[in-house]
Amino acid sequence: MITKIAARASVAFILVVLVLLLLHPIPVDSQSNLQQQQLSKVIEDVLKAESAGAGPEEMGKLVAGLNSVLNLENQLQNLTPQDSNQQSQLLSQITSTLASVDAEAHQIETVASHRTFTNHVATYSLGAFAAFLATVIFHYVLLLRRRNRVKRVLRMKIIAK
Amino acid sequence: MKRNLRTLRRLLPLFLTLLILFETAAYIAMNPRPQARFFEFYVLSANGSAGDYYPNNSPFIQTDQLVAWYLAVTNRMGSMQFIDIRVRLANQTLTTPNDTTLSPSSAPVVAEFKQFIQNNQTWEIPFAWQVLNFTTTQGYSRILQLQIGNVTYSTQNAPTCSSLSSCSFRFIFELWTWNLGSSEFQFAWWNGNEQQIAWLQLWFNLTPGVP
Repeated sequence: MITKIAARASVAFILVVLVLLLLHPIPVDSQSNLQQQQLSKVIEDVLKAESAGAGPEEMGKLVAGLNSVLNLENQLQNLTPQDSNQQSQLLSQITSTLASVDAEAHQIETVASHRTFTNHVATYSLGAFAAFLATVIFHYVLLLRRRNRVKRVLRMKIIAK
Repeated sequence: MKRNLRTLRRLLPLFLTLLILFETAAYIAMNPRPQARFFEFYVLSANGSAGDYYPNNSPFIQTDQLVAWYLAVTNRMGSMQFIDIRVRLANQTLTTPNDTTLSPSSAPVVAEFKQFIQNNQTWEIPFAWQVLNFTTTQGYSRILQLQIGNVTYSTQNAPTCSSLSSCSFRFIFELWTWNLGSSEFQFAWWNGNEQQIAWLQLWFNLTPGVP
């Protein structure tokens, strides 16, 4: 019984909030503030992808995405207050572009960090293998030298003067 | 068996020394020394040279006379950068950016250009401008309208010049970079333990008639 009442109350609360939001749309300024925060977060994620080891091509894609957001923002700033339809269209386009750049940055970060880890493991393993190989070569060179020296000693002739 | 053990015992120090040497080399190869972090910021003329900035080689610019420059920024910061070039219009008395206190110019901002630049990439901005309108009241001249590219800017709080023949205007270009911590543009960036700024200025004289 109590859970039913609680569920009804929460549904009613959500409806009231929705109606209030519809009656008082969020002003463009606060929307741009939200976008500013979103942009800041996306920049942070792109930089994380770069420090994880994203290559120039991958970074190029992300940078192109971010610059397209700047173009959209420029278009938005040039609109008159009368173009509210176009404004909301551009705002949603900016939000979706930022979201797709962010998702791509996350994906690139995962791939790049895996690649960097593999490269590190491979490089350190190569170092260990090179050390082993150099030791073996050194050992056999010494062995060969000793054998040659023994051969030379065995071939020596004693000549009486 | 005993001989093999002796050989192994003799080779082990050699192997360990070589291992340390190779692994150090691998570490150095994977973690290169941090390099200086800076921007290259410059202005070129319409023909791409660092000179001949003005039409007919004269800094006396008429109203409606088009002057074409290129602003260029190369990112040598080691990572992607979000930059903002602030264009200020100043006269002789307004202060330029201060390299010691790292403070920007006091001249009003006329235009801004923002862009994300990849590491080791150059961004070139065509900066074609013309004075569309200026006024002279009580002996003081003030630029009212400027066109940069295809955009017309109405200059608010624009600086004044007492005499057009002897007083010069100038464009001050400041390089601002995005600060992740504060989520806003900052004038100076960090290079190791020191902060640096980058700015440029180009002077011009305004003339109502033929120069």
